[in-house]
Amino acid sequence: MTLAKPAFAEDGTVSVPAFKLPPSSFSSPEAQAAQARRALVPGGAPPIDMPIEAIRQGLEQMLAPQVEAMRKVYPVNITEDEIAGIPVRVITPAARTELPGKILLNLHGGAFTMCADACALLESVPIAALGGYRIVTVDYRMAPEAQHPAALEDIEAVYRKLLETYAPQSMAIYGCSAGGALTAQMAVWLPMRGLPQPAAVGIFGAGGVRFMHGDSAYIAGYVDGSFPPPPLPGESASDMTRGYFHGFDMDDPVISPALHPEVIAKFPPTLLITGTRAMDMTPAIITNSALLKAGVSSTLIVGEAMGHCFIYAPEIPESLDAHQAIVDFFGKHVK
Amino acid sequence: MRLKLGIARIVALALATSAPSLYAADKPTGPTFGADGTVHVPAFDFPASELSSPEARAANLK
Repeated sequence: MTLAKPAFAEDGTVSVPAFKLPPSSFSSPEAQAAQARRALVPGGAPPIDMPIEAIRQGLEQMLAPQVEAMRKVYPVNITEDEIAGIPVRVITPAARTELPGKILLNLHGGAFTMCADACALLESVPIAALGGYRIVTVDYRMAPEAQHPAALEDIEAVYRKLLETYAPQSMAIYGCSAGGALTAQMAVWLPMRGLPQPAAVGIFGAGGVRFMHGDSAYIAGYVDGSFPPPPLPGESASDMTRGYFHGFDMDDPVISPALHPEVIAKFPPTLLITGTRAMDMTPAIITNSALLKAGVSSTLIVGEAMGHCFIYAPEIPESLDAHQAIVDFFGKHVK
Repeated sequence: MRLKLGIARIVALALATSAPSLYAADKPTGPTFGADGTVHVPAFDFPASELSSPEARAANLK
């Protein structure tokens, strides 16, 4: 059978013909099996008019077994608390000694609108258990109830309070998806507010530029299918953040620091994690390039055939490898 | 365990619930998935990246 070839238009657009993409031969058997099980998942999107509370509750229920699976692999203790009036969870290792004098701040994913419980735990549990870290995961304000920079203000309040106990070189900030984007924003926000940078930041499933632009938006929409493809000419873009950034310039240095060399030059050592089928691959690549160009130490890990926030899956070796890489990175920089 | 399948896919699908309808009738549909893990990718238009340099975009036209 002869496959159709791509056609190139004068404006640089590539017309990609339909094609079949097999599982990567470099993927683990577990990842290949997970990919095969996607045939069982119904496509399309549920109705948009669903109330945010119903969406939040449904997502938490859907992810609860995954959190349980993660906790079986990685034993931890979890307590609920408040720091500077902001609700937080504190995750500590249950099967090994906690590292003294060090603390990590986790900013959970969830499109700036949801997943304050499950995503927070899926991101914190493996790193606390594997690395021996005390992790504070921040339940920051989200949309539609709040708007930018509400989340940054909440995280700053927690960070300020922790600075009374911990040296900045003993702290790191990290998160996945919206939490990864907020991590990048915090690396701009903290010096703006006269606060010291932490020892390192981990930006996972995100970058220092807005989501859903560049090549990987198309990978996500048409090859991976986890996110809607970019709008066609004449269509309006969908807003998964439910107005969190409404009215703000998405090229603003706080929101998209990778577009501003003088801003991103102030970043601490950075670890970025993305996947070849992830919508965040472009933001991660752009950010890594900008960091290196600005002379900042940056490491980019790209998971072969991995999608958005693949670190949430404890059954996939690629995910476990990423957990170890995160722990190794923080172990190198957090003193 | 079904919930172990592509957790990121589940999260992404859930996150996408806050977006307007993904696939309009006149728009290429998203991918479909075979039981062997093959992705059936629909035909689509892939514009030059707005994040690449003007020089890179021009070079791609040659």
